[in-house]
Amino acid sequence: MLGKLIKHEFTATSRMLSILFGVLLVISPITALYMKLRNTSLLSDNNLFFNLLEILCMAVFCIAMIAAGITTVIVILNRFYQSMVTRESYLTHTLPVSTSQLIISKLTVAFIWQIIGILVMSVSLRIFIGILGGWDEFSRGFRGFIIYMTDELGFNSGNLSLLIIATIVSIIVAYLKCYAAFALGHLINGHPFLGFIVSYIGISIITQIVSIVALTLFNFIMTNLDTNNESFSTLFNVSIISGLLFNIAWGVLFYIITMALFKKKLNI
Amino acid sequence: MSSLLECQTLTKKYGSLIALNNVSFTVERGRIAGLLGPNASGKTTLIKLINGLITPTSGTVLINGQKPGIESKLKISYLPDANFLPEWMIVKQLLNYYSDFYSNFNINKAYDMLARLGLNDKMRLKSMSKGTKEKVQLILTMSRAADLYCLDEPIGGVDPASRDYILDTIINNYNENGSILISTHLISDVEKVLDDVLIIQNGCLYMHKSVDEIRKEHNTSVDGFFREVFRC
Repeated sequence: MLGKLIKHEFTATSRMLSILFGVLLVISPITALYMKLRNTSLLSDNNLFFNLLEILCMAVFCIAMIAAGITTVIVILNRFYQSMVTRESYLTHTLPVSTSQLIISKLTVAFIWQIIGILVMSVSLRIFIGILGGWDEFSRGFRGFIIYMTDELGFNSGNLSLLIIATIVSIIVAYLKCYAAFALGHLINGHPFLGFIVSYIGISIITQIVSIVALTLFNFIMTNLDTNNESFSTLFNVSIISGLLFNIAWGVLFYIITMALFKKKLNI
Repeated sequence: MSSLLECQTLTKKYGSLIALNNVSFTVERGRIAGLLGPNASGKTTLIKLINGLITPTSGTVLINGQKPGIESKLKISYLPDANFLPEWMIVKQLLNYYSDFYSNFNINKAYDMLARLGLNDKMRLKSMSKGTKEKVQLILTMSRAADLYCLDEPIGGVDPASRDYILDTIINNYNENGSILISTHLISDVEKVLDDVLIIQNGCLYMHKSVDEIRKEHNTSVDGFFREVFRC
């Protein structure tokens, strides 16, 4: 059943997101090509219209990139809201599947779309910079940054793996946090979205307070340890691992809250 | 052998509001039961409790001896009192959706019913009228060979001709080994198909009798009896 849920979740979200990513992939070369042409003899006049159009192209590309990132999250969260809390949820909650299957299917699809979004945005940026002829310069700068990180600071593949895992976990936890807020919000009769907003703010305040306390405690421990002889790589790992564990703990808590409320306190 | 549907001292409160108060009854296999009552009497609350969409404050619901869960959801075919299908879906997607999740969904039967209404599977819900959407929902619900059909106001808000179509669809397509719980306040239209009547008033079960008993004891139709009891 999990596979079927994932399949239908993809169908529900892809009609919006595939268009969104498609548009982004079309906008990148168009805007970049105009800006490239602007530097050729064809459109090189110092014409106000051409100047404005060039600025507009740059703005359109930047806005499209930001909008793609934000819209991806909105589409995914709206899908969760519609299918778990509103009238559409009559269909969801009467399916012969478990609550955990529902949540895991939605989380899986959200995560995959998030990764696809990051890849599409990276490809768009690559196309944009590539057409403008700045790719070599960009690569050199990036290589320089990598060399600085590896040679000067001792950043190694272990650190990189850990950073990737921490990023993946933080994406998952961010969605679980929203799911928990939806689960809490749906308990307010007739105002589930307002309930979501209030719950999200409440959860954010609590997580911030706990994080500040934990960070203070962590700093206190670190300053009392002899860390002068430790390498950047080791200190990086300690910071990332502690952050990762902290995030995992939040993720588990948010998952339990979402599960418990949709399973034991369903109020549609 | 246990009843198909059994509600034991079922109570649902929303804060200080008591939506359902200490309701107990059973529905046996093969019966068509009408869940009758004035507006806001607790009919939809009861149906939602049976479907596990809300949790009772106290008491229990048993479907074939089991509490609402994965097993009961496979046994119950539920038609809510509102449009609940995603507007962006086309009919074919809905049919595939039901086929994927409900092993008792008969897709050929659904296609037959759609064809009789002149609907094709390429139609998008968004482009349909309210009445057509309701008919599609009914077709999906009745194409399942379920044990229990929970139909919440299936004829509410539709014209008399559509009411006949809906009732005919229900009667001609339900699994005869199962039961139907049909909630409505349009009693005269459904009376002819009912075996039993459950009347709910202010969240309490006012009466649970067979249609024949009501007619015999009160010398009137169920509709007449209802009008007498709930006269304003």
